[in-house]
Amino acid sequence: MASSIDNDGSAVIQRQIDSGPAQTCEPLAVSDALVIYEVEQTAAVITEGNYRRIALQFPDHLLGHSTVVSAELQSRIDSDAKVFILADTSYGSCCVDEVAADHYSADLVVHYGRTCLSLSSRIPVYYVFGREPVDPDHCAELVSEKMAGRNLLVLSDVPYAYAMPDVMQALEQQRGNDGARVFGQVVSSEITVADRLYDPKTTTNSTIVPGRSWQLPPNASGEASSIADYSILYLGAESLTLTNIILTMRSQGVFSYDPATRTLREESHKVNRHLARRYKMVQHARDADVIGIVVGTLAATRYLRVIEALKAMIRRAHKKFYVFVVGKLNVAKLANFAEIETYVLVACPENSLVDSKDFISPVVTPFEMQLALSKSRQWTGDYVTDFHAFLDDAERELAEPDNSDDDDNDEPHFSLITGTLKQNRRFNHPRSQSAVGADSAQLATMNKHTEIAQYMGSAGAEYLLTRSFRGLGHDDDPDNKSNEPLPAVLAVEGRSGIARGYANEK
Amino acid sequence: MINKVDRALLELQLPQEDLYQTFCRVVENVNVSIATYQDENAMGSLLVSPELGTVAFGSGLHAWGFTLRQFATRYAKKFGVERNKMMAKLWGDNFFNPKTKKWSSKSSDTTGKHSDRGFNMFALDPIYKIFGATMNGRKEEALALIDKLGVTLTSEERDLVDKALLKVIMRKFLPAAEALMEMICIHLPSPVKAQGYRCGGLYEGPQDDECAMGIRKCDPNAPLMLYVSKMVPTSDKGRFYAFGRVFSGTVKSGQKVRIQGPNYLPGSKSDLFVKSIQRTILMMGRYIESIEDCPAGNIIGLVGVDQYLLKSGTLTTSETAHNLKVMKFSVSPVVQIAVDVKNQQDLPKLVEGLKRLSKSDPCVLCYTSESGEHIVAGAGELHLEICLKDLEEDHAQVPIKYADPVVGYRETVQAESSVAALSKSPNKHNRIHLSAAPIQEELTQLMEDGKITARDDFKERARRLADEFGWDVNDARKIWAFAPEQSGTNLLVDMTKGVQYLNEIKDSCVSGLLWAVKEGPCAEEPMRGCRFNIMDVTLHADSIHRGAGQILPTMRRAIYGASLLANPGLQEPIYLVEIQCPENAMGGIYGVLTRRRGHVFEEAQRPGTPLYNIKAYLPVAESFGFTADLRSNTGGQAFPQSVFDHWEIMKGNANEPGKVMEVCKGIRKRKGLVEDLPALDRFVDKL
Repeated sequence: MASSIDNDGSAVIQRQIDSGPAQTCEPLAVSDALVIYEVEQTAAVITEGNYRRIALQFPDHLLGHSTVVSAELQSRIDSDAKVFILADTSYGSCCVDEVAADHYSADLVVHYGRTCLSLSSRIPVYYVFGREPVDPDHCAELVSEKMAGRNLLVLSDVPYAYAMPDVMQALEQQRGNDGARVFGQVVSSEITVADRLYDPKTTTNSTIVPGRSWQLPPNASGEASSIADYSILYLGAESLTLTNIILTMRSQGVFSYDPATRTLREESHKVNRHLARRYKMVQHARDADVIGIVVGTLAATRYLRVIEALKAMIRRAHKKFYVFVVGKLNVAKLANFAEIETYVLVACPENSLVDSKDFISPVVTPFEMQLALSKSRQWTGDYVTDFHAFLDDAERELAEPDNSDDDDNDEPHFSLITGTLKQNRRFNHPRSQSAVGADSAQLATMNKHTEIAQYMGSAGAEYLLTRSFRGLGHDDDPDNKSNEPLPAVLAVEGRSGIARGYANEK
Repeated sequence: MINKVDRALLELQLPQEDLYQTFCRVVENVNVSIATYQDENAMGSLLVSPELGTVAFGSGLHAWGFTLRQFATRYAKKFGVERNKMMAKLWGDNFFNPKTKKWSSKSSDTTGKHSDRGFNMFALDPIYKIFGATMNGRKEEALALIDKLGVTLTSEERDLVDKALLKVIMRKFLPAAEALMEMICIHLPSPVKAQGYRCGGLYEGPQDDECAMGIRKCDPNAPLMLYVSKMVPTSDKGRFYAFGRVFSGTVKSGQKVRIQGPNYLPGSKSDLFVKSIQRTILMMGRYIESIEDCPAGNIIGLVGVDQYLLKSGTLTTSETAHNLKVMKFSVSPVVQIAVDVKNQQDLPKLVEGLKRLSKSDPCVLCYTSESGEHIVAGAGELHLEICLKDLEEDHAQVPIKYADPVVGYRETVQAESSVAALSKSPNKHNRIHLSAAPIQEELTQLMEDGKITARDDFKERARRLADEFGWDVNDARKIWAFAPEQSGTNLLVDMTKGVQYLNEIKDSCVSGLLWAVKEGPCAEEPMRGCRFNIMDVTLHADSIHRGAGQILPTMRRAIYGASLLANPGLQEPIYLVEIQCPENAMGGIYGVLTRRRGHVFEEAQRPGTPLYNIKAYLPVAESFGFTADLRSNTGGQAFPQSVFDHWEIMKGNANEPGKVMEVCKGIRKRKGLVEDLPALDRFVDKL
């Protein structure tokens, strides 16, 4: 049995990579490429902006098309402007990989495929959404059947963005045909793709989801109307974008029309179930004493400020945090840190809603963490995935004086996860720090030879003490009958390189 | 106290001698039970006997009752005999001949003249007379009788008739409180005496430390030891009095105490608070009275410690004190109901309500399920109904919607895995070979009762497992973990031979086990009674590639895989139902039970009555609406009492079409999971 541990690597080369349906990438004819990837328009943008180094970012499943597109693009622009292909985004392919683009000092990123439309901060981005077919008349028909009499706000997934005017027209026609007022107001959203920086002064009436904007007309009595008066029609298949809209928008109801299957269905009934599941996450976060902040984006504007706000918030709650950068999340990576009780994922709005059922500790969003830690904020059923709304709140709260230092603060809370009272451990607290050494609970015997170690409120060390295997001669060896303490093993330098072949193996 | 004597008189109309015989039998039965459990050395003989004054007779409904002592006192004067002698005469085969005014041990004297039993003559006769007179409308006679007995009634009371009058007379003639109080005062040992022998059963710590000594002596100057047994709601909403007993030391207002929850471990800081007691109060039914302090041996209410205790706990002033043993309730929460708020913004109120509910009821359990539902678990349908009413009206005060009550199942395996399941780590460099096997029900129950736990000495435990349950001693010594808790019923056993680095992954394996058994593979219900054997492990030579991240998820997959290969099954909770009914209602009972998959295992006539006692097992899942069904089928003649008894395996495999699979699918649907059971290849890899 040749185990994969000590082979020469041929197995990896010969291994068949099983590719799911999403990864198949049929060869693309040049003519199609021009249409789908909007090569002409892209070239025009490049020439106009006089960009020199252009990075093309493809999601993994479209990488097969990248060569055709880049060749065509290169042939249409100045010869001293260079086109690069960025492969393998480290987080989600929906975000612009600014860091990778920076490595090549690119001055423009062209992003292809699905995107979460998070605002980027450093490099101008030109989005190419691709185009999927949609039948506006069929859509309008179904909509008029099921959604009669409602005010409509139409949102779309990015591949259908080009068809929005057609759909709007079809909807208007339906309305005209009947003569009656089939719909209330029909408002279309626009996808604003701009390299402008986020402007917090934008009124709430126009921008809610970043990158999507709409202007709601005033209602009959002349007051500004709110999203609560509208029903949302979402054009596109089930996706994270849709989940996000369902969770964050408190509208009359959310319907989705999937052009691929030509069906219209109501999505609103899922909301409560979803919210309940997220609330459970908040409960988990409240129980946690040691929190891992996972950086899941390097692109979205203000992610650094979000991390800082989280740190401040956690410190204030006298909990312990560690910051992780792990690239794309998976179970194995996070399970390496068993002492972490809850992770907060700082990522773009669509990627931060992780279904963490398979993860050993739950993964929550910054907003949920805020709910869990804050004394003033309460669960209202409203949900925020957007950084900006979160930051505004978080920074306002942090600006308030910290009056949590009175005696009642270590009152236990009722944990709904276990159904018992949960007492929080307190890290980095001024009082507990000064008391070190006074309390027998902070001393731990290292082994059976009654050597005593003192630990200073470090969560990692505390966890290590509960383990049965600690290494470095700290373990009780049942075979060692003598009373002589084992000499502690000194740490030695390990091997370097990657696991495929270490530096000393070559 | 033998209760419901009024029914014997009013409904059954038993003659005096029959009633005496019934009493005799009841006392005998009670003594049999006592004899089974009593510990003669510690407490002396506990058998009860009316002539010692340790048995009272009466009616709780009418609030009257008596002991022989009371009657003996009454007659002792009249006969000029000593009271204790008189008491002895009032029970057993002692007959009084009114002619000769002599006692004898035979029911008829030499002349063949019948003489009455002392008990009948002196205790029952006056009661029968009062009953007879009042209930048959001979009011004058009754009033005359009570005057003779020295009972005075107000003029309004004299106007009453029949039952109402009877109640008033009996209550004044033989007040139940007096009888009970007398028994409590005379027969219950004082705390000073009782704690001397109770200490061993009360205190978890060593029996020779200062706290144990204090408890044993009931010493008000020793360190404080106080057990809070119950949280009593105050008029102030959301606050509770902590109600408990001082076993040692003295508790004072303003005193700083250590509050130790049920999970407190001596020396650690978990589940421990140091707080001041705001006030100490005396609780007297509806009234409370503040008092300065309270020495050992008394029952007391405390203000200002409620937010640190959920249901019960130990309060002490000694730093080294261990906990007092937690009271065990014999009911376990097997029926669950999912609650939700009508408006999402009320959710925090619901959570607060659930907290108060779990505080105020010792048997209820509130938690959130994986799918985000809030679950209230109780002992039965009726118990839950009351809990939910309290929750909606008092604790949360927001509109709440409920799902139907559901039953919690347990997942288990029914055979040894057909082959060892092999799972590879995410990086494919580590492999775990694992097999699953069922654990005998007797052993599972021992583990549930905490008789065999992770805390035992491993050598003794291994010996016991080998001797009593046929385990291999070497395997039994290498039990790595109990799951889901220290007294869990799932075991992880290391059966590998000579695997390098195995120690290093032990913690990861145990975490994987804990994670997996919380939610089994079939229906994501907790697992019970499974033994997982690690048959072999292949590990990467570099420690970074066999870290927790690689081993932990692999272990979980291996456990699921091994379970699916070992005839996975479900266990359902079973009620023990006791039904009392007359003979003619038995047919209906059998009908109802059979329709609900129940079966009768014992049927006995209650001696001296036309009533039958039926004992049956009934699946909890079938018990919803059982009481109502039973009533309608027996014309209201049957009275059932249900209590959780045991888990019973359901016939069939979870991964083969059939009833068990249907149940699994139902649970999965309710939890919002994919309905089909996960396939084996999700958990098991090829070599």
